[in-house]
Amino acid sequence: MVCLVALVVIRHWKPEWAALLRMASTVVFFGIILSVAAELLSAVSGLCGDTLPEAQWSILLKALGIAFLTELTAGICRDSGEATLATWVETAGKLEILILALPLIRSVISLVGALISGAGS
Amino acid sequence: MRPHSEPQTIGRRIALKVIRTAGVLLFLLHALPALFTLSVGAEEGQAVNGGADAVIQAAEENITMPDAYTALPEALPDGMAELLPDGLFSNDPDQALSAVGELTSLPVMVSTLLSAIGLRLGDGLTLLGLLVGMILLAAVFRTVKESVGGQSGRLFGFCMKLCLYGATVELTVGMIDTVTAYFDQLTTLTAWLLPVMGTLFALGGNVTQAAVSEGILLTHLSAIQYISAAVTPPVCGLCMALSLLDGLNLQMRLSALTGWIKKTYTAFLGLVMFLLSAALGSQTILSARADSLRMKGIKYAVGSMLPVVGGAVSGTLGTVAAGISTLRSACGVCGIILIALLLLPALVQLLLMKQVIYLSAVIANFLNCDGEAHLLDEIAGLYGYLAAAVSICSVITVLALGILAGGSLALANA
Repeated sequence: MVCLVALVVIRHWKPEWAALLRMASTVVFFGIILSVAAELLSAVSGLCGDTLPEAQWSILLKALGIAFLTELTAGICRDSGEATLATWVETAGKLEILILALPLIRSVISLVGALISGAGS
Repeated sequence: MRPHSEPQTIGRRIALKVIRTAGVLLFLLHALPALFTLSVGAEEGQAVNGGADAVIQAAEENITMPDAYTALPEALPDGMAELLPDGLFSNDPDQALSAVGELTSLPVMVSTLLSAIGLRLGDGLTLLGLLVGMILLAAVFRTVKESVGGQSGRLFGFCMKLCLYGATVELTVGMIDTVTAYFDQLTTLTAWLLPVMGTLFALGGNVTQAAVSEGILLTHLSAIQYISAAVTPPVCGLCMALSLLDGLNLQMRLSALTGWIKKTYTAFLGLVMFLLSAALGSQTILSARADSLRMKGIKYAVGSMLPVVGGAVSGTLGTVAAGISTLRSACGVCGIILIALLLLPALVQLLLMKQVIYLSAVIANFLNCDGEAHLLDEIAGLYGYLAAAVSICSVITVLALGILAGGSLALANA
């Protein structure tokens, strides 16, 4: 609420500072969310311990972080009136996640291939 | 003054007698218990000393189990050896004794018997725990994906599905290999019965009968078993692969193809059961037993428990019962028990795992994980097909063994 009120006031008096304030408040909120989510992440990683391999869990965590950062950055860009920049940020985020997911795609394809080749033999 | 002193003297004497008697009684009252205590204490001391001497003697003499006893585990099958408690075949007599005590306790005996027939509840609970864990993860990740939103959220959801679906299928894919090995065992056993039967009849001089009747019948049964065993694992593997791809939402609707393959396979199983019924109808060695109340109950139970071919298999139970009674005449109750221990574990394990996976699908539906629920439903259905094929092969094996036993008994009585 405080950030919102400050943004509205500063946009009225100093529009060029509004974008900076927006970015700063986003970073602060992101830090608060990370500190709150740390406990949730440790509980989920305990749940993952027996079900998912460590490598897969780390890929998922990185993909989640990239997805969050991408959406946040794209949102800031759109709010600042830079829609093209937002689109490029989203494209870069998607490519990053796809590159991260390549080992997973490879393992699923090899599993499907093994099942089908067992069917063919 | 003699008359006056006599009463006093008599009274004194009586009093002294009473006092002496009381004193003796008191002494005895205190002395006897002490004497008894001393003798019990001496006996206890002797017993303790004797036991300690025996222990010291055993330790000094280093009593151990004989080598032949410790070599027994090598003669046992691997699956049986792991069911027995640790230390049963140990060199140390105390460890062996405690293992025997553990083995003869009721809970261990019941769990060993259930494990021998394939009802491994521990494995089922472990699988259930893992699947429920994955479903909970899927529910958590789905919530996170929705909070991220946008294209990045959808891509993260795709990564999540890759992880979870791959892990789920990998957990259950080993069962297809196990069932394939089981089919190989049974088809080899049934195929080897043919030359054995031929040899027996040739020794008895009935070569024509062997070639025309029992040999053709056994060949027919062996062919049915081989076809159903050869077709089932590839079909299940293909359906599992298509279900995995369909669940990833790759813009390809593969569920229709999977459905068509399953319908075709169900029709194939129907054809197999028709051929089996025709073979049983043409043979005369095993006469189907009349339906008693107990047999009707068993037929109903088998028909409702076994998927796909339950009704058809329950129809052959009369002939199976005749085969079992022939086998009992030939090799006794122990032979029947051994055949049951050979055939039951795979079927019971498949039915147990199928129920576990169905339960996981219900939990996934409950948590709104529709994709995971659909995939688990598909996998449980495939387990049903595997159980159907296993039950057909098991029935054929019992019938083939019954025909062999019946033919051998007929030769022996001729």
